[in-house]
Amino acid sequence: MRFIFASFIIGFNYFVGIYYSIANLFYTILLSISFFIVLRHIKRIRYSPIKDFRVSPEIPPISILIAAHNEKDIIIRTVNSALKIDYPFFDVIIINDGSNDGTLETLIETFNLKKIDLVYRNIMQTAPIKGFYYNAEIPNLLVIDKEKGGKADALNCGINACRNPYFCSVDADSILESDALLRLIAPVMESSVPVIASGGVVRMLNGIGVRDGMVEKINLPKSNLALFQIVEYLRAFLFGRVGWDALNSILILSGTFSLFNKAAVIAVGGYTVGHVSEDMEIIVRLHEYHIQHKKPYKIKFISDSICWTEVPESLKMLGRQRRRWHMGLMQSIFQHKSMLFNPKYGKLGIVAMPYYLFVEILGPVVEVLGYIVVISSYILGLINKEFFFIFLVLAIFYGVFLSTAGVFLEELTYRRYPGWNHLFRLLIYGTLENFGYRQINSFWRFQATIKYLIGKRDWEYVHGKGARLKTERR
Amino acid sequence: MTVNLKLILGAIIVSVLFLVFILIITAILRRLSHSRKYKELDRQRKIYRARLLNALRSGQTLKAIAFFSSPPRSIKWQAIEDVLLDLINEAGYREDIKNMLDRLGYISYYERQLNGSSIIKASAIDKLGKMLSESSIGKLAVMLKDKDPEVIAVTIRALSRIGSIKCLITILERLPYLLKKELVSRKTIKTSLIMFGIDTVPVFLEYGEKYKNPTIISIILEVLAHFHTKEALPFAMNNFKNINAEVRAKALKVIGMTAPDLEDFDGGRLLPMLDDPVWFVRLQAAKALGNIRYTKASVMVGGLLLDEKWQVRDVAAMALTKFGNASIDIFLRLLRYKDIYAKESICEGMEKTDFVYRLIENLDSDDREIYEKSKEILHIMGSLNFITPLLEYMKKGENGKIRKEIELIWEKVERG
Repeated sequence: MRFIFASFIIGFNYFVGIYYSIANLFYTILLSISFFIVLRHIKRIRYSPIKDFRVSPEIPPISILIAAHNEKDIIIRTVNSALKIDYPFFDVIIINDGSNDGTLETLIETFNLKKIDLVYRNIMQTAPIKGFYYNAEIPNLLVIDKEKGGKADALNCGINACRNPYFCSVDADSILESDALLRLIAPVMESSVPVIASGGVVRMLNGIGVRDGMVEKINLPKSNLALFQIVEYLRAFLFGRVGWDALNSILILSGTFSLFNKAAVIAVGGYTVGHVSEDMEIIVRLHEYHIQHKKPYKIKFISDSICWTEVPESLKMLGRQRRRWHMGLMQSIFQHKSMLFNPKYGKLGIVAMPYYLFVEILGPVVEVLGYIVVISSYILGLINKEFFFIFLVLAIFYGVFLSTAGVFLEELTYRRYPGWNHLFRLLIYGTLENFGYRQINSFWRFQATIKYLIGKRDWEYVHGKGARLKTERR
Repeated sequence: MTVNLKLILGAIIVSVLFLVFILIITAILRRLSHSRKYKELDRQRKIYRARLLNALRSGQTLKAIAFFSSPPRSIKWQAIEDVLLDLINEAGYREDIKNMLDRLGYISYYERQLNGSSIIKASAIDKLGKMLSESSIGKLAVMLKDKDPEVIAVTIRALSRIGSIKCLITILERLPYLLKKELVSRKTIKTSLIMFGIDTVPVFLEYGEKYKNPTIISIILEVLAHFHTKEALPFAMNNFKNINAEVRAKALKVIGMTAPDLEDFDGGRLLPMLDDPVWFVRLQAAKALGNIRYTKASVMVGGLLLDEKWQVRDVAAMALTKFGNASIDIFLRLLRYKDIYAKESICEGMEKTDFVYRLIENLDSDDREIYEKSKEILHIMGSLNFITPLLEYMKKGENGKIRKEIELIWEKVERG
């Protein structure tokens, strides 16, 4: 019996070792692809037609949809930022999703809005509308007041109300860079294959100086947790998504900031209400629908279109956010399991979906169990020192390399953090991230897996995310 | 086994450490070198900007060529190029700067780069466009035969930036091939063609007549619609009955934009287009008739308020509001109709165009018929929940008689 147990433990150790080798190989491939793609993109920016788009009557009008639930403190800043965007034809639609903190009253008072009557088609069923608010002097701003139905429901309501062929979903605690929409629409303008969605980079607003709804001074936050997240986001956006984009197999565009073709979204029934991660779910369904109906399409990730957003600065809120993200990922992958390993879906079914299943979903389980089993095995003398160190190298040390590579890519390309102290702090936090922060993250995701398996799939709200009040004061 | 494992472990650790070290060192060195380079570049830009402006103002640019010349890709070369490209858009200096760019070797340098890889080529094409290099048009025309769609798109933009008739002809001549091979998006073509400006309308018209390809004709019509010129009207009139629906719609768009400026334009010729089987043609026809305020079309445009497409219904409602009181009968007749969607489109159109305020003012009209009809329309609007303008007038309106009338309408609405 003891022999069988020991064999099992040793076998598991080998499994962990092999698993990490394969996962790291995947990351390295993604990193290599991204490296070339981002460098190429940076060169292409020199002759980018963005400035021409600004005056082109061909540029499609866009509706910026902002779903807001109890965002009284920051909603004005967000709306001001959206209204100042550099784009020829756009409107901003705020969907007040049953706020009870005075969000609507703040909007009415600040923008001198009046209740009006509008034709509203309930193309996608949503919670009831209570009213439309409008000011003829700000004709591109519309506020919809509705009963609470969640973010997906609010976005569906915005889609029902918007008249433009494209819409851009933006979180209520986010600030767009002035040319963000022009950059996001570029693939729509340039590609001969219809681009049905495109997403940009999300960066941390924590620590950033904001004035009149625009980013004024870039700085790093003081919070360690926010700094870890900066490195994490750089890695995820600059080499994760860029790599998948190159394969036209991107499965996640951040719900914080993404552009969609309205008709394509309506064709798949809009956002799924009640889904834990509606932003990933919509992308997976868009892929599925277009491949099933043999419609040519592209979903693009643009690495220089930037939206700044607040991230949680407390472990409690961060834990909630990460559990929710992971649960959403699992929900999407398992709901669309017919796409897994299905050659009909091409690279998406053969590479991207299995990657998310085996690396992103299974990863935290292997990591948490790996820490427990491998360390116990070493203490109990079941594995030798060399194997133990190989595990540490693969699990942690390689992570340091990937984090450094993320910071390096940023440095090589966009360099939004210009100070020397920014560079060094990011490099230091890229290293430290692998000692503690990453393990806590894996633990949260492990928790999410357990919760998902036992059927406890509730939406965990994240509120008072970051330094919003501090930023305002600053 | 243990020895092998140790070796593997050691190799992995050393490789990863080495890679991390390389990345950090590269990032630091790159930042140091860039910091120096851009500092120097800023300094030189400032110096040469002042000197170039002096030379340009005194008209002595040719004498100063030797002073400004420098080896390609040096910091001085880059600084002078940046300043010249910045100043080239100032009309007074344009010709002198174009001349300088040529004499300083920028044009020949970037023309040589046209033999490079796609990225180098595209970058050079873009530069030649920004330098408004007319002598490079021949070489840029060759680039339109490139296999890389990005190179073609950049070339089209560069030619449109140079903006001469020769550039436009170069693009238009190549257009059938580019569209056939789907080498460039239509949006890119239209965006670039519009940049040629209104003076080039005769060329567009000439090529519009020359080509039979409906895609090209519709692109040309779209560009002409943007220019908003009467010269385009005969061409549009020749095409609004084209066999291709897109061409018909674009031609109607041009007519809708240009015909309102003509007093003797006969809108009756457009009436059959309101029955077109294609919805976007009907939409453009309604829009055009609304723009030219052809009131005789009010009944037929009114018919579109029951169209199957909401886009057409919306535009028809907007068009009717432009006919003024002449459309009251139409609105009333349709508001009595059962189709709730059509009624809502009409109400929204009346609110958005402020036509509702004309109706409210009519409540004080001496014309009994207008008064009665306006009152009925406002009552129907109220019963459909389009009540805000009525409520607003009750609160803030100055005319006591109108307020009283609205109160009566309101009471009637509440009674159902």
